Amino acid sequence: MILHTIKSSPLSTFSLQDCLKHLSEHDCVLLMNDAVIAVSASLELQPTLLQLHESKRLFILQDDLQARGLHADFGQIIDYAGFVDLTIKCQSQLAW
Amino acid sequence: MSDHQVVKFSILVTGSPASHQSASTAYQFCCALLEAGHQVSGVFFYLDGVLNASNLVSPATDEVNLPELWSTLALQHQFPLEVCVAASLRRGIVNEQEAEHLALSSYNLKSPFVLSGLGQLAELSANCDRLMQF
Amino acid sequence: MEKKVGIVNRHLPHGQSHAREALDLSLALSAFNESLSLFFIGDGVYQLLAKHQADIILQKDFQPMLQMLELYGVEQIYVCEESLALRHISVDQLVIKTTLLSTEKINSYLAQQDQLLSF
Repeated sequence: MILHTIKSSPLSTFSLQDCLKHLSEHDCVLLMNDAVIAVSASLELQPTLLQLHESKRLFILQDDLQARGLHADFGQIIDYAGFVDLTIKCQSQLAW
Repeated sequence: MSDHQVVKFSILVTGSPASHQSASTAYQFCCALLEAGHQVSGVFFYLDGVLNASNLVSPATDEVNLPELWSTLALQHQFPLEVCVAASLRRGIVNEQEAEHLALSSYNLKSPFVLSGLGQLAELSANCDRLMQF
Repeated sequence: MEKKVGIVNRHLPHGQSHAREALDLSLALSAFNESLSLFFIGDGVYQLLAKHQADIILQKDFQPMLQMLELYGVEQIYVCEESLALRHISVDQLVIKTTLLSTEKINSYLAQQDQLLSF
């Protein structure tokens, strides 16, 4: 089980799109830094993100949302302690 | 792996402290894992991440000095800050020994950062439970 | 047991230093780890396209160093088939011997790695 971490905006880079292409069945996705906008903007990828959310595999770093004055419409919001736990729960990390 | 077990993390930092948030994220991640009772085996700086090791970084007083934060955290928790020597030299991060060897007029590697070969990254990769890249 | 380490190459060469420095890292790690795998996906496949002339844009021509991978015993070099097709690159235009894999297969190989580094 891989933890995919995304840090750049899905409206200006292909990182999130590429990551979703390379996602295996049980992998988790963590949106951090600029990537947190993915859960508040309108994206073509939203149906896929909602599916991930429903299977409890979509996470958003709280500090990065808050720092940008944003709210998440969906996804599980975690703090840094939750981020650490998530990396332990997953076997490896792939940084996009 | 149980949540209560002490987990050893190695961290790879590839972003510059002034241009990207990722180096700050790496630092905050280290603070959180230490807070949770886990360990940092070491932090390896590569690509523009080596700029975190400059002694000359001098942000305005209302800005964060990330090299300073790394130094303090590493000294407090006794983990190494390894900086890739090849990536450093091409970006102007130099220690005393390299400055002498290359006949450069000055050096700027911050203590306790050390210049290392990529072999040290192999070592950190082998000696950890989790390798995290930022 | 030795950890399985995968290095994922996603960037075009020359515009940024990722490709070149990831190759330095791959060659260095291969001396310490015999279970190294290289993945070329997305724009990363351009790193393998033959006939680079990087010196005319003041960049280092690292393609000769790609040849050293074989010398260093790095044999697990995987290239994403779909990424090649999308970019109109055929396998005979690649500068080193690689294994072409579907996206699905790449994903299952990624899942087998203990650690992943991404550039």
